[in-house]
Amino acid sequence: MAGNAPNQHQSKFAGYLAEIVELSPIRTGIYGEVRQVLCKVLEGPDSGRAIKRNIAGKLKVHDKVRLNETTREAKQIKSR
Amino acid sequence: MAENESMNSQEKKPKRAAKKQIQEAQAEDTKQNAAENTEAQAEPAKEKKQAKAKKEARQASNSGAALFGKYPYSEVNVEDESLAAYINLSPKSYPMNFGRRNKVNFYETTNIIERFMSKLMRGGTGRKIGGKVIRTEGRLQGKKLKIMKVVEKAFEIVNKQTEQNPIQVFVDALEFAAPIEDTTRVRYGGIAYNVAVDLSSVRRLNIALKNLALAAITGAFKSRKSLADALANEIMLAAKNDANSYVIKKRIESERMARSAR
Repeated sequence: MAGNAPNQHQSKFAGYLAEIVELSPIRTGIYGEVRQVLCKVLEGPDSGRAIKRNIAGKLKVHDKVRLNETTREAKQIKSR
Repeated sequence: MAENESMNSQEKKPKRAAKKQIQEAQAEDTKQNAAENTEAQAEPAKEKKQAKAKKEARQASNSGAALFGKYPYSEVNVEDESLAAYINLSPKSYPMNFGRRNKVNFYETTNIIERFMSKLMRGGTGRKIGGKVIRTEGRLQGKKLKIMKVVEKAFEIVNKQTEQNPIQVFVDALEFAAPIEDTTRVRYGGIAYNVAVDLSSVRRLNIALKNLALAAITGAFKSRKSLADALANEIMLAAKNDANSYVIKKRIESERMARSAR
């Protein structure tokens, strides 16, 4: 893990940049408005890691998103 | 018989000659046709080249175009990399697409000022905001020129007070107004829970634009302030990341909700 030290991250904005690598066909949420994606972290202590996240809103591959924290990996939202 | 043969040969000769002539003529025709074809092919190519040159010239002349003829786009820079792809600053002095881009795949890549103007053309909320129910009875709907004048006035005020390019101030305001996280509702056996989700950059921009427009309308409702004043005030507060601004309050609230619902 050749990531930057957390102190080096000095941005005006909160969170860390990440790039969307892959869109999975899974749509979750009550109305199917949330999408599960695989994204690669570009900034912060976890940079270089690929994590699964739940993202709401219009998307395409190679879009950049901001994540508040990069340690958590999102599960699929299931409604029984 | 021999005579006949000789006659035949004599007759055949001119026939052959005629055939040759016809063939030659045909060959010439085909050559001419080919030449014409190449000319015909060359003409649209020329037209295409000319059209391309015209387009480039138009773009070059437009590249210096400034918003309302006053504020150049070229000075503006977007610091947030995630929003940069969707904050379109294509140089247009009076940004209007007349509904031509409505069926484009990613409509969100239209000029950002125009998108904001479209969001301002709205009625009230129909629900309570700060103790007031706002109903403007749709008197702004469809009136883009009216809104354009409002935005121009507001940008003038911003330019006077901050002495910066108002487009830059507006973009800063958008960057601070866009929330990172939000919540969605999920039901487990009749009980609804909130679950935190991240937001894509398109969604973040949409929320920021919507809140900014709403804040301007609530600021001007039942008060002496004009819509332009309220809008200018809101933009300047949001660009400083000031907690008195409605949009910043909204962002902080949604992010706080998401943090508790992780």
